[in-house]
Amino acid sequence: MTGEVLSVRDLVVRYRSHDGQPFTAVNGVSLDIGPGETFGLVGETGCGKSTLARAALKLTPFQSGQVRLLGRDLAELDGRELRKLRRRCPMIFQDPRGSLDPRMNVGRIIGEPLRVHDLAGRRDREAKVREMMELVGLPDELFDRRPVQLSGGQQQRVGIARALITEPGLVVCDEPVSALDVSIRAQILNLLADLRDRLEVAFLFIAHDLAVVRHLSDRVGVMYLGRMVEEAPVEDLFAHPRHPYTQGLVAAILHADTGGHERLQLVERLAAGEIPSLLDPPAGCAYQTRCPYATDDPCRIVVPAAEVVAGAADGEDRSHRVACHHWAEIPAPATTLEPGR
Amino acid sequence: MTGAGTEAGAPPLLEVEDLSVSFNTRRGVVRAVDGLSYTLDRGEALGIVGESGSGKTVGSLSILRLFGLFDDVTVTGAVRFEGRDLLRLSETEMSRVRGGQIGMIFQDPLTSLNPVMPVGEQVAESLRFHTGASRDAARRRTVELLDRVGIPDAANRYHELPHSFSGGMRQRVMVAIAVACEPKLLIADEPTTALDVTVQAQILLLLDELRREMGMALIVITHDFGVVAATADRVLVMYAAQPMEHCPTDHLFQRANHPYTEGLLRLVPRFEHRAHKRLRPIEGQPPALTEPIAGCPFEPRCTHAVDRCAAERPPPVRLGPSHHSACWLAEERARRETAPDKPWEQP
Ligand SMILES: Nc1ncnc2c1ncn2[C@@H]1O[C@H](COP(=O)(O)OP(=O)(O)OP(=O)(O)O)[C@@H](O)[C@H]1O
Ligand SMILES: Nc1ncnc2c1ncn2[C@@H]1O[C@H](COP(=O)(O)OP(=O)(O)OP(=O)(O)O)[C@@H](O)[C@H]1O
Ligand code: SF4
Ligand SMILES: [Mg+2]
Ligand SMILES: [Mg+2]
Repeated sequence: MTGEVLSVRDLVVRYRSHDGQPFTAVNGVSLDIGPGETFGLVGETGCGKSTLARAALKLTPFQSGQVRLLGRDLAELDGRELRKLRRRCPMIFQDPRGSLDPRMNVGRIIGEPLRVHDLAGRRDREAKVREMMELVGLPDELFDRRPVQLSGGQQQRVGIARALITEPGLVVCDEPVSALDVSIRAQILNLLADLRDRLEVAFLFIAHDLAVVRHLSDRVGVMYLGRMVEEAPVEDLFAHPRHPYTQGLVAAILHADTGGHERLQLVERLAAGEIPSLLDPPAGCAYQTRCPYATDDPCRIVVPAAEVVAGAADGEDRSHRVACHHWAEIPAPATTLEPGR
Repeated sequence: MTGAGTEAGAPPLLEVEDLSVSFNTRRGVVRAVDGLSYTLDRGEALGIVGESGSGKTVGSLSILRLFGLFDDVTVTGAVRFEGRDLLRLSETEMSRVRGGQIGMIFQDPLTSLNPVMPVGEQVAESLRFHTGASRDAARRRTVELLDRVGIPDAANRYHELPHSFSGGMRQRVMVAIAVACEPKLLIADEPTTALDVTVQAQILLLLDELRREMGMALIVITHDFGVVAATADRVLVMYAAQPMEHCPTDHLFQRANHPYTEGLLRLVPRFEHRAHKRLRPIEGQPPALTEPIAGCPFEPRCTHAVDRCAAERPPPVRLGPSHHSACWLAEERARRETAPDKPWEQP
């Protein structure tokens, strides 16, 4: 895709386990993020979300596949060019406190990327920092405070201000609100939503809370055991999930209404049993060990390829894609998803 | 808030009356629980919700009198379990109640298994202590239990150490230990917080089924309204160590009365919302628990507060069977003509 902020093709990342056994953490994943677009990435713990994000910035080496970031093919860049590119693609992490240097004050932390990359002189830097602080809702008097003297929400705002100060093209948010208490979480979600609307920045937003992902994303990708099993525009994915695993995930969003028990039973049916180990992945479809629709042939033999869901395409590449042999025959589940009001 | 959910005549299974817990620390006295009262009948499920630090865990651990070794703690009030005040039992009597008649799943389950003891032994040990079962009988029952909570190949996995179990499986083991002696009451503190959504659903379903099978009462502590909706008959909302509202679960979503409950409901992105809808955070911070609070603890953040709120602590007002709200405006708010059926949808 031309003009994409991030374009990943058939990415494969392998690691070694602690006893030296190689395994594949990201297995042939493709995705595209357009300018100003927010792409939500969901999936259960260990499915490879953070690895995919890190590999997209080449912070983790990948074994095969192609990554184009801000128009550049990562394979063609040397170390210096790569570092230059990365400063336009900062990350925001789950643990706000742990990602801030405890010895620096707020102003210094936020301005640090400008200093490291030599992007502004001292005076400009300070002005820019104060501007960012205002943008993320940090009162000016916090400029001289250290991270321990801030609340959890303020710490996360510092992380966000630091990420935005280099005028990034892509911001990678890895579980930015999972560690925050509900009231702080709401503030940060609103802030991220504002920034998404106000700035021309693309976001790769990783979370395991589907309600949070839906709240912020334009498109959503669902990963399972190292593979992208479904990808679609946000409302389409939640209203018409096609992959049995996505159907289970959507059903597992507990609604603040009655019918909780039926909902739990539906999840039990769609996603029974445990997530298999990456060290010993199932043959064929990664989901076949838990899937109620799995058949011996082809599900337990052939890895399903991503197919475009007919009729869902509403433009060039805004399509709904699913990697399941039986998606066309699978009944729509009664997940009682009323359209959002 | 006594009397909620109690049939006239029959004594409730659990009766917590004016429970207060404070810790004497170097930084002053921390009031972690302040005037908590509720009752629970056999087989009933109560959800306790509230922000971090509101006293949910301390309030429930004090039912079992579980405090840290070095805590200088003062507990007042009464915790009657089948009519006996647990706060007055000897330590030996209490150790029979813990894990026997009352089971507990702790907030940090992934670290509360012994890492060097085979998983099965950990369940069997509790069984032998509480039921006096023989080694063989305890082992047989353990395999049954592990099987019941959904551990595949339970007989063989009995001998494995916790680290070879996934997070979801370890949580199942914790459930097995907690229900091994068929407790009359199970207290589950954030039983699914560390788990993925499909695994969370499996554990909640399991708790629900065990509750139905064994007729046990359940207290689920959580900050997730979805978990409450899926498991609890009634819900207790706590703020700054105090109970704010107590009501049947369907009331919570249809006619929450307390301004704090309303605020909490609006904080969470939910499916009933349209995508990209703005959330409305509650402005301000919870009060310090070391400072005395004269009025309603929510007053500094409440957009409805009147003069009286800062000066006098509002008593729980009964709004209907099992519905109480500790707010000076409770009655007035209950009468609202335009009572929104979805409080979070208010303009
Ligand atoms: N540096 C590494 N060396 C070896 N294995 C790793 C490394 N980093 C991650 N892994 C493993 O690769 C798999 C994918 O990890 P990853 O962190 O990408 O998952 P994730 O989807 O981000 O999970 P979570 O939701 O828990 O953050 C996991 O099994 C993890 O243990
Ligand atoms: N041993 C202790 N000594 C002193 N203060 C304590 C102790 N245990 C808890 N507290 C304080 O008591 C208050 C209530 O804590 P509690 O753990 O019950 O909160 P919680 O509602 O369970 O919060 P969370 O949702 O974070 O688990 C908090 O302010 C906490 O800091
Ligand atoms: S390919 Fe087969 S096993 Fe995989 S999700 Fe589809 S039906 Fe289930
Ligand atoms: Mg991760
Ligand atoms: Mg707690």
